[in-house]
Amino acid sequence: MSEERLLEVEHLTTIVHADGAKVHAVDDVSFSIGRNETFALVGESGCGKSLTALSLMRLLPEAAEIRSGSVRVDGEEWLSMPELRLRDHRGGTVGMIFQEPMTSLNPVMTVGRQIGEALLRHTDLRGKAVRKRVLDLLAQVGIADRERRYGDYPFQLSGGQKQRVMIAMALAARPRILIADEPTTALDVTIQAQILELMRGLQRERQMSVLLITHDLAVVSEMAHQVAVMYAGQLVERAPRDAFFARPAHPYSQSLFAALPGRNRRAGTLSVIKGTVPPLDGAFAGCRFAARCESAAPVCAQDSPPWTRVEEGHEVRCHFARETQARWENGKARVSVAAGAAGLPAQSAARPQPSELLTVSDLKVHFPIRKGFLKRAQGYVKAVDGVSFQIRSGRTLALVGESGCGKTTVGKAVLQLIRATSGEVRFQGVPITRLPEARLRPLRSDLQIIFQDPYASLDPRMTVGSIVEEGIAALRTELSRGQRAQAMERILGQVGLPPASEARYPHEFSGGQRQRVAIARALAVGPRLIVCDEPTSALDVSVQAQVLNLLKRLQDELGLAYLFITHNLAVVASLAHEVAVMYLGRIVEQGDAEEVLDSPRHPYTQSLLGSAPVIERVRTARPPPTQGEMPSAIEPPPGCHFAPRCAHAMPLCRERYPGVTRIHAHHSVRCHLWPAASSLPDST
Amino acid sequence: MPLSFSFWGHAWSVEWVVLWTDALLYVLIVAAVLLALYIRRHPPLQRPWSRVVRSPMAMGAAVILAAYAAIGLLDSVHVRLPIAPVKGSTVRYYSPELLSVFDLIAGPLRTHTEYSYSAPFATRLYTQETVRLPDGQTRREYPRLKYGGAGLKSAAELGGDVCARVARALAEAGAAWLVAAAALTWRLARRHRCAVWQMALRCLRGDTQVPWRTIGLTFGVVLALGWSAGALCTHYHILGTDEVGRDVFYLSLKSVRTGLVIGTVTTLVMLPFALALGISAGYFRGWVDDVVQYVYTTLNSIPGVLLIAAAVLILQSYMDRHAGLYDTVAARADMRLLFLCLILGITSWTGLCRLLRGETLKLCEADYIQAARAFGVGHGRIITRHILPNVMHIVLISVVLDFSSLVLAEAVLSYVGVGVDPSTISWGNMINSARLEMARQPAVWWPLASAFIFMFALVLSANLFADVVREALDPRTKGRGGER
Amino acid sequence: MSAYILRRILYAIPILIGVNLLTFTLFFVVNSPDDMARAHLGTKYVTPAMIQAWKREHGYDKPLLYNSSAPGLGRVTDTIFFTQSVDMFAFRFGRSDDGRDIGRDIRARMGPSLEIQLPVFVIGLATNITFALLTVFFRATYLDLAGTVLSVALMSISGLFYIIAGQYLFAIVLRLVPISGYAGGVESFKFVALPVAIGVVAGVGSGTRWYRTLFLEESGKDYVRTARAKGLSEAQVLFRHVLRNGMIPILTGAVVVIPTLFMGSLIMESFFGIPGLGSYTIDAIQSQDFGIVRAMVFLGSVLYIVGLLLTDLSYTLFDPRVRF
Repeated sequence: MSEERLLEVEHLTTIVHADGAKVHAVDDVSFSIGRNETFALVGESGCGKSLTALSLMRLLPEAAEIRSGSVRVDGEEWLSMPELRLRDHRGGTVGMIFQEPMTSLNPVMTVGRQIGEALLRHTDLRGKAVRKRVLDLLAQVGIADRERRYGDYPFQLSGGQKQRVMIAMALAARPRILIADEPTTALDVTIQAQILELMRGLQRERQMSVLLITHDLAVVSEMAHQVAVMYAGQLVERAPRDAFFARPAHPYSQSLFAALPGRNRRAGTLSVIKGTVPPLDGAFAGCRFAARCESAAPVCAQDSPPWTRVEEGHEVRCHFARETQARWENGKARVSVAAGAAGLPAQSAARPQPSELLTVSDLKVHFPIRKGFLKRAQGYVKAVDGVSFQIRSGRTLALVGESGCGKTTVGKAVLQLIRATSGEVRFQGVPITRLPEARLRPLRSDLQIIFQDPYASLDPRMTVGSIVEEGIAALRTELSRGQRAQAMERILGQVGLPPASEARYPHEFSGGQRQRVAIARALAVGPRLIVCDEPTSALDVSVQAQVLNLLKRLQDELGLAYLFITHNLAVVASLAHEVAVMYLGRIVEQGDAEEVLDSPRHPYTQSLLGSAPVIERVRTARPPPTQGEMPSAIEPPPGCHFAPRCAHAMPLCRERYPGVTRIHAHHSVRCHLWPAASSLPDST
Repeated sequence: MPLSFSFWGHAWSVEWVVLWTDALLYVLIVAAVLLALYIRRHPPLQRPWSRVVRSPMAMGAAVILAAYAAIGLLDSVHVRLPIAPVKGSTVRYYSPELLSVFDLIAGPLRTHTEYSYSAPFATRLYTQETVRLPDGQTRREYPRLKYGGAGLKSAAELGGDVCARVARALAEAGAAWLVAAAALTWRLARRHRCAVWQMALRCLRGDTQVPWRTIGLTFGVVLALGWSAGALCTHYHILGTDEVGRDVFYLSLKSVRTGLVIGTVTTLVMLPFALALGISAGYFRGWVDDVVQYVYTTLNSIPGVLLIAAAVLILQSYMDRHAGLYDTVAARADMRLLFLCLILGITSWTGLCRLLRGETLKLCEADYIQAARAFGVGHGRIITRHILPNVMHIVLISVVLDFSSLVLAEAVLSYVGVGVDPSTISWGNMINSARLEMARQPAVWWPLASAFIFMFALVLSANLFADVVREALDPRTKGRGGER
Repeated sequence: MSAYILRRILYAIPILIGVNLLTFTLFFVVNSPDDMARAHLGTKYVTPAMIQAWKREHGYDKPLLYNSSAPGLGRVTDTIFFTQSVDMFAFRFGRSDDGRDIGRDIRARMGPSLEIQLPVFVIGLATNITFALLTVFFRATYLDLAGTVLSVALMSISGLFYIIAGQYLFAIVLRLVPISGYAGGVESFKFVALPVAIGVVAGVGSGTRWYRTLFLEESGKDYVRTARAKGLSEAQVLFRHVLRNGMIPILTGAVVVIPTLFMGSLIMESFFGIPGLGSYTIDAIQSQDFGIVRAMVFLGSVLYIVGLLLTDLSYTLFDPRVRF
């Protein structure tokens, strides 16, 4: 079997020195990759998957060091190889692409030179030939206008183009293995689909092996032949793709599946993994997942589980691998998920229509671009350009779109953190867009916000208590000190934090717990509407499920309304009542969540839904991804903004922005494909 | 303020005089203590400092800095001694001469002045004098010093006497060190709940979080040096004497206060400006920002030395014209020192102001400030509760970094003639008055060497300490390496 | 681009007015013309008539800021402030106390100042960058530690020490160069060599440390890892990638001081008897010649503002991301 394998990793152990402690970030990891095979290494953040990849290339940061193990490529040992010879393999035998295309390219070197550098290093090409090969490579990775791009600097390219350049650079010397470390995590969903498609094509074409590192099971499902799951520095499951998605056998893998939000989990409670990843700086006795495992037995806490083979090529590090797998196959695991959905009220039916809480009409936020001698505004970034929607109390409107579409600006403009250029925001019928700050203050307790990054949204120098109390002190001045303390205790309980957390500081909490603190802070003032700005996109899947469940529970208990801003359609499906899809400052389609998700009318909505990778038991053919990227909001294309990327674009699309077409009472779209029968006034 | 107390059986009565710079130093100490208490009570602020406390380099430097600070503080409590009352009068009069507690302790050093230059440990003057012999003849010779080595019968005894004194001093210092170390070990053992000998062993092995071994070693070296110097300086001019016969060792020690005042009071003076302007420029933006930027660009554009020179020149001529404003020479010199700190502050706040403005601009975009705004929290509260604590590290880093450059700047300014008052004892003045003597044959090197060495030790420890502080407090240097 | 330069130049005007106002306050308000006259004529036997005569001779007999007796616009223009400011902006610096033309003196003394400052700047920059790169190349080794400790030690030494010790060692003990003095032409080398060497050594500690942190910060960035993943050697990574990025802040930071090089170094020139602007200034300070000091302050500000402008322009040169 050995001669079949291109890359063999055995007992790899890497430690990181952090503030005097030794963190066993990669602990006894073994796997192998065959020729022309895509091997996916899956795990949540901090599990050691990136360090594994860097260990293979011996590109570790200074604080990390490889302790033991072996890495063989084509039978040749790499870990003991002299640095000088290994350099021939870096970029030559193995190419690597990284997560952040924004920072992974040298900002002051042209794209052409950066790719050319790899050619000069590993091939005999010189002079004109280098340029020609670079241009070929740019064409292969799908860069349009490659002659011009050759001399461009990275800042002149979009995120997707940068990642294409990274791929071109990694593949320049025709490596036999490509290591891709979260290659699409920083990209939008339509761009992600393009890049994944590109990687699949190149792999087939060039007969490469790929080590794909990702946290996203859906990406794995689309790309991988072999899957390995990593948890707390160790591999816990290795399997061929189909076997893994059909019959995951480790409790951790199973809980990852169960925690995924999605259409089929609609309105149900997502299953969560309790607790957090254990710290890796101590010695372990027993299974590392035992403390979080629903079916842990006494033996799990004592003995480290050995590898158990459950079927051909499918191995699991669990004492009860067969039982776990059997339970999954019997569907018990899924039943528990479905059970949660049973008792919930039906969505749209007989419920009395709740009152309208927030009405946004024709909201515009334009940022001036100042240039020239007197710094006069010479143009505007039309971040939000005529957005209208309503939210009723106790309901959730999801505002969906890719980065840069203006959705966050809408959220801030609703809260009056950014003042609107024109248009109106009414809260309970009161127009608030022009209210001075002093008159706005009483309304501040009704409107609150939760931010995306729980690491940046809590003041690191304040205790959780004073963070939560800040709003009470500012807005509910009528409360006495004792009442405040009571309120605090109640709220911390509501979000599932122990009362003792009051005296602690944000850095002592994990990402999910921090987001609970942020929710508590918003809840403390008794809001009616909370703007949730991507509240889970910085969190791991298992934690994301906890936060989504919490938000859902709070809505049921307190009748909160949410403006839920997100790029993640799976999250939308599990939480939202209504959906509005935004593209370049405007809403292109909105309506009942099920309607929009089940029968999207706008080509952009269709493209978003089609681009999102999905988990399938058996891989099926996918439609080709939408081409191009979102243009700049400074000079939007004439006519329909989506026309340049739209597969159905007609001449009319390039001339006029389409008006609103009502598909029916709860579903409207702005697209020329759906001519307005009962056309509403056009607002080009 | 007259004070009366009895000490060792003597009834003392002195008038306590607080000079302006004394008062500011006291304020500074109170502020530092309050800040330390505040930081102690807030774990996120305390965490980076605990890294400083664990760094051997920082703590070694801190011991030396503490020694300097002790001298400087003793030299900052000023009194006027009573002069013998006029018969029959009950009113007590005080001498116009201002003395510090340090002067009182170092009494003999201050009063043992020779005629002119003498080399370190010399028993005779550096220059030849015409001496009238008992028989009435005159002869050119190097006269014996009045105090330096006065107890010696001949110069040949010098080596032996010095060795004997040093040996005794070292023995005493060693004993003192052992007592201190034992007391410390006992306390540590109590705190860590282990046997005293175990604790001692841990300290010796360097197996403690706070680097007690380094602290002990540095303290031992400082103690040994200080004790030996103390034992010798009463009998010798261990660093020689200057042109008018003052003991150079005494001058070097007296200069410590000047250096410390310049290094710290300047920062204290400029801090309020930098904080208020920098934060409001970054927070309010718009025209506030424009005005602040204009002010600091304008101030920055004037070459610092020239601005200081111009201001000091003007002050000088102002003081010359209003000589009656100050009742003592010391008060006048102190006024000039304070003014120098002020003007140094005016030229040096711009850098910090710009840093604070930038950081505040960045912070205002932070989600937690947005969250506070979503609560309708007022500007004042946002600034004091969120922005101020989060820019504190910048302030502290710049305070410790500025200290050493200010100490060095004093010497240069004094050389240019726009530094401290010529009557103030400072390293700059020592260098300035002795620099031409290097051309003599043989060169008079000791006043220069002493000033440079004392300055170097202070600045080096300050720089090493500042280095660790910056490393610990600057969030950019934290968490290098590791996955994400 | 040209609009940008124009705007920056116009922005310099209020700053220069501010500088002018500040120096005027210092030199004429705090220290009034009467005081100046008294200081110059001596305190004894001075009659008001003599003071008036002195003031008239120097053009200081007008009101300071506002002339209530003059007609029309003259109320503002016929004042000391206005006439003095106009002279300043026209680079007419007037005469020093000993009657020499300050403007001509400044022009004559720029050369010798530059002769020291320019080599110190260029050699110093090259030396500091080299040492900083070396410590970064050998980072986390004992060589790096030694280099860092050495630079901290070097920067803790007073600049005066370098000058005094250097002069003593090379001019007095070893007699390699003259103690002080200056001569034009080729001769000047032997007078200038020591000050230049001392200037470079005095700056090497802080320079090396500052650049080292810049390079270290740069070498921790993602694109450096990308370069390594291409198989580049450590030296190639350092010179092709880290150096180019690290040089941007270094060069743009260095550009601001280029115009001020004209001002010379106060201490160095006075120690070595170089007849440059530094010693000119220091002599003026010591003889309390306010006319010269004021001229130098103004000149310094103008040069600094030119430096700021050059800094902004140099970004477009060194950093492809910045365009106007």
